[in-house]
Amino acid sequence: MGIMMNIADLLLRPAAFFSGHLEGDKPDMKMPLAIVLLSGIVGAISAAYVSSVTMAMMPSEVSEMGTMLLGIGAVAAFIGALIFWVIIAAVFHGISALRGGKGDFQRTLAVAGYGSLPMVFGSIISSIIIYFSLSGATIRPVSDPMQISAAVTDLMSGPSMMMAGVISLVFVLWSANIWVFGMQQARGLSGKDALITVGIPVIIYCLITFLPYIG
Amino acid sequence: MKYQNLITVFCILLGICIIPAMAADSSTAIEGQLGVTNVAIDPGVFMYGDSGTVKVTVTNTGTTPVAIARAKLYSNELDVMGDENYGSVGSIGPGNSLEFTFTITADAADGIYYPLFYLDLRDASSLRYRVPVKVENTGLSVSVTDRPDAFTSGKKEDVTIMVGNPRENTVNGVVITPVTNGYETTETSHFIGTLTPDQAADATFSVTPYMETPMEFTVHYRNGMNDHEVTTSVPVTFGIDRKQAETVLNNIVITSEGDHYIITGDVTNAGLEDAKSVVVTTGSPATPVDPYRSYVVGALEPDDFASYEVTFSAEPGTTEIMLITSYKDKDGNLYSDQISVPLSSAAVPDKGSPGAGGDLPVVWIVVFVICAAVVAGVIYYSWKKK
Repeated sequence: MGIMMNIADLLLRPAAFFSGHLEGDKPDMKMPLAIVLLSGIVGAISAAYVSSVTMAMMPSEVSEMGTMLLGIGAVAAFIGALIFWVIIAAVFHGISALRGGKGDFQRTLAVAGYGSLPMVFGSIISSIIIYFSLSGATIRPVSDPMQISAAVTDLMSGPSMMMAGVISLVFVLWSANIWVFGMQQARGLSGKDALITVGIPVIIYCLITFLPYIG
Repeated sequence: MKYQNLITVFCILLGICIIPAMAADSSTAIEGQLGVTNVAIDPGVFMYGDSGTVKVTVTNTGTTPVAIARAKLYSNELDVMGDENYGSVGSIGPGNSLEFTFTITADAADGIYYPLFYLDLRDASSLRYRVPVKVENTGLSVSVTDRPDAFTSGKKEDVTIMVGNPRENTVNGVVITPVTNGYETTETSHFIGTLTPDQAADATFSVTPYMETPMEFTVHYRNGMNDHEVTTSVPVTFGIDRKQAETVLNNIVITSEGDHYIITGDVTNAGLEDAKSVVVTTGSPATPVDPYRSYVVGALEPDDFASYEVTFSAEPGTTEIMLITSYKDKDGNLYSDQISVPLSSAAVPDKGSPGAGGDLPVVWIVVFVICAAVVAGVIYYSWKKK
């Protein structure tokens, strides 16, 4: 019950949540780590499914290595979630330092982990959309290796796939909202500085994610 | 006086003896002034059952007319008709000729026969002459000198028939007529006319077979006034002409373009004859679509090639389609060939499901609106409860 209350506070009232979870220079990292691991698991499942679809396009001799490649994709997605956690925390830490922020990096790391929870929801919904999109598509093996890249791009650039990406970004905004409150607590920033600290990388992230669909 | 009477009686007796002798000498003279000067037989050589004429010309080379009672032609082997016309001939003047024509029918085996021409003279003498008549039953020789290696149903081909005359006499009215049975011919018959001994002539027919029944050609000809015919047949077996054009498709590349596919490649004529009006298109289950429902390559000489491009659409789940090549030969016969092409070159979104292609499903828009509203509400709430 306590955990559920904490999660509700994290999602709905982050200002109140962080005031009770960032005591000291070394805050408790179990929950942030659990959130990031959950994010990694969801990402790994989604990556494994997309990999299996991509494998169907490969020539038969490549498809025979499907299980191994599928595993590589899942592990890469899981590790990617952990790396993303550290990188986004480092970025926040760096920008906040420029805005006069003070505090240990572990506090920033905790905020970045907590704030990743809405992104997990976004990943789940996006994965559902991707699943239904690809399960209805007719996938045929691509005989020409030169065409595999083009075929995958075609497959991933459809309207449904674009919608999955847009919904993910909506949840990124939710995470950004949590990060703003978290960075205020963790680094002693003003609301404006926290907004700048979080806003710059989030906007860049949104642009990087969305530009392929525009291009 | 008595002696004179004896001399008179002696003279009478002598006269009685001399007069018959004188009479005998006159008969010999008349027979000698008649001669057979010409014999004409038509046809020159009879075939079994043929009817013809034997014309004998008798000329009086003497200075006095010769009376002729009748003329006949006798034969034990040949049937002779028309000699009753010469039951009372009359006389033939000096220097004149008379023709005696008899009709004979050769109901005899091959050989040379000698009917006897007999001219009965009124002074109890006669003229006899043997007329040689040949009977030879050999007909015209018919052979096929040119035909295709193999026939193809519905394809026009040339067949050449040669007719030779191995007989000793000339035949006329030679006509070659195809007996249409299971095939068509451009020519209804071919007239050759006269064939002298050891002469040959040929005729070419354009034939289009539709079934594997032998083609028959009948040669009609006349030996004198008698009609004869001989038939030859050409066996028809359908197969593949070793020289005919053959289209081969290479370098086939399938690319997906929106809601349809594009096939590009090369078509090569691997045969020994020209392929004309070469067209490449797609067949079931593919549906040809614009802009290249079918691609007209045009004429291809042997070992020549050209590229093509055709567009088609296919239902989702289609694994292979048919690529059809058609061409015509120089006679306009249409040939078609098709190969199966797997659709393995593209990942194609299924428009009928909420897939990666096509229109954006409404359900995803609703999901997006709900998510956006929830997130906006949460953010608003979090700032309000700050």
